[in-house]
Amino acid sequence: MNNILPQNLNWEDWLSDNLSEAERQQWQALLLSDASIRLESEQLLQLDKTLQQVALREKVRQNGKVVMEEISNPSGNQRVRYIILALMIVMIAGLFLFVTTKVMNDFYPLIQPPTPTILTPTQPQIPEKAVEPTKAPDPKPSIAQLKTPPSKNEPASGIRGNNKTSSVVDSVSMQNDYVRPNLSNLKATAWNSVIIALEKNQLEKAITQLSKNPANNDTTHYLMAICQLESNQADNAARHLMRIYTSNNPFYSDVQWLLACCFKKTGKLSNARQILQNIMATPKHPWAKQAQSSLDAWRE
Amino acid sequence: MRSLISRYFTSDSGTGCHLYDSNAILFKALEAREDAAIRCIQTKVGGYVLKNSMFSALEETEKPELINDATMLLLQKIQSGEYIFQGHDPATFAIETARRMLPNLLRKQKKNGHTDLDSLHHLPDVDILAYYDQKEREEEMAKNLSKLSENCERLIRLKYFDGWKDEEIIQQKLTQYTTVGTLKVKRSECMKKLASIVGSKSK
Repeated sequence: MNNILPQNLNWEDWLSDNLSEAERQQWQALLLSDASIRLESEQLLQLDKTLQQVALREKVRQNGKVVMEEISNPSGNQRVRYIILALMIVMIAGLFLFVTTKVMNDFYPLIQPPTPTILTPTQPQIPEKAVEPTKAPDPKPSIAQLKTPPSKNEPASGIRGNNKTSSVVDSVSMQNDYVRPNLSNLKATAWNSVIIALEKNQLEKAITQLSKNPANNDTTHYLMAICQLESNQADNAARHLMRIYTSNNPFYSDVQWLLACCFKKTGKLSNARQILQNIMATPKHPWAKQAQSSLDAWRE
Repeated sequence: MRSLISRYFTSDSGTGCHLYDSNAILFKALEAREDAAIRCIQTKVGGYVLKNSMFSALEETEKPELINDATMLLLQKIQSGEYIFQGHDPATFAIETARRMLPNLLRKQKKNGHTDLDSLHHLPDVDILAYYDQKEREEEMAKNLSKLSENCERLIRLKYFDGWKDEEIIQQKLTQYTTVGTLKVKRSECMKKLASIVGSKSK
C-alpha cells in the first residue's frame, strides 16, 4: 500500500474515472506493468463500492427511523386531517339524509311510475283521444260558458309532507285564482253525467261516477283532478294530473294550469311558479292571462 | 381522486409518496436515491410488515431492520440494473423481498431460542444470503471507519455519507484544505489507510 504514483496521477481521479486521455493511458501502462499497483487499485475500487453501500445503508436507516416513528405515532397534523375527514363524512351524510327526506316528503305522493317529472312532461307513445265514449250520449243541456265559483280555500289533506308545507301555505298570501277549464267539449258524451254533477257543484257525486267508470283514460284523470281540486284534495288532484302531464295530450294546456293551482294550494310554490312561467312562455296559451294575473298577485 | 386523497392524508415528513404520481417517477427517484422515494418504499413495506399476520412471529425489534433490508436490496438491484422497471410499483419488489427474508430472520430467532415455527423447512434463499454476507461486510467497514484518524473519517464521510462535491467542500471551507487537488491527495491517503485496516483484519 505504499506505492508511489507519479505526481500527476491520483487514486481519486482513477476511482471516479475523472481522467484525461493521456492520464488514462499512463494508468493503463502502470496497471499492466506493476502488479502491486494493480492489487492496490482493486482493493481501493472494492473499498469505494463498499463505502457507497455503507453510506446508502445509513441513509436508509435514517429514513427508516422517520418512517417507523410516523407509522407508530401518526403526527398531530395527520390526526387533525383524519378528524376533518370524519367531520366531512358526517356532514355529507347529514346533508344527504336531509335532502333525501325533503325530496321524499315533497314528491313522494307524486312519484308513481311511470309518471313524468313535474317540470318535464314526457311524450306518450300513443296519444289518446280526448273523449272515448263508453255510454250513449245523454241529451242534457250544454254547460258551455259555465264557470264554477272559486273553491273553498281550505288546508290541504293530510298526505305525507303536508304538515311541513302547510306552514308555508299559511305564511304566503294565497290568492285563490283557480278557474275551472271550459268543459263544453265534453258535453253529450259519456262524461255528461259527471259534467252535470260538476255544474251543480255535486263534487262527491261526480267523483263517485268517475270512480265507477271502467274507462281509465286521460279524460277520467282530467275530470277526477278537477273534482278533487275543487273538493280541496289538491294532492290527489296533482296525482291524476301528473299521469296526463304530457305535452301532446289534448288537455295539456288545462293540465298545466290545474297543476299550477294544485301546487299553489299545497304550498309547493316554486313548482307552481315554474309552471306558470312555462305557461307565460308558451305563445297563445289559453291560460296565459290567468297565469299572468296569478304571478302578478304573487309579486304584490 | 385517489391521488388527491392520498396527497391529503400523507404527511410530508413521513411517507413522501405524495411526490410521485406514477411508478415511473418513483423509480427514477429511487435511481437517484432521493430520501422521499426511500421513505415512500419504507412506508409501503412497513405498512405490509406491521399489519400482515405473516410477520407476527417476528420480534418487534426486528421489523424495522427487515423493512430497511428489503428497501436496501431493492436499491441495490436498481443500482446494479438487475431490477428492470416494467411499470409496476417498485414497492412490490421490496415487499416480496421482505417475505423472502422472513424465514432467515425466523431461523435466526430459532437459534436464539425465541421461536419454534414449523415453517422453517424452507431452503435459504441464495440471493438473500448473499445480501446478508454483504451487509456483514458493510457493518464491519462502518466499524473500521471509526478506527481512522478524525480528519480521515471526516474526509471520507463528507464525500460518501454527506454527498458533498469536492468543489463545495473547498468553497464551504469544510476542511483545512484549500484546493481540490490537496483534498483528493489527502483523501486518497485516507482510503489507503482504510484499505490496509480492512486488509489486515481479513488476514
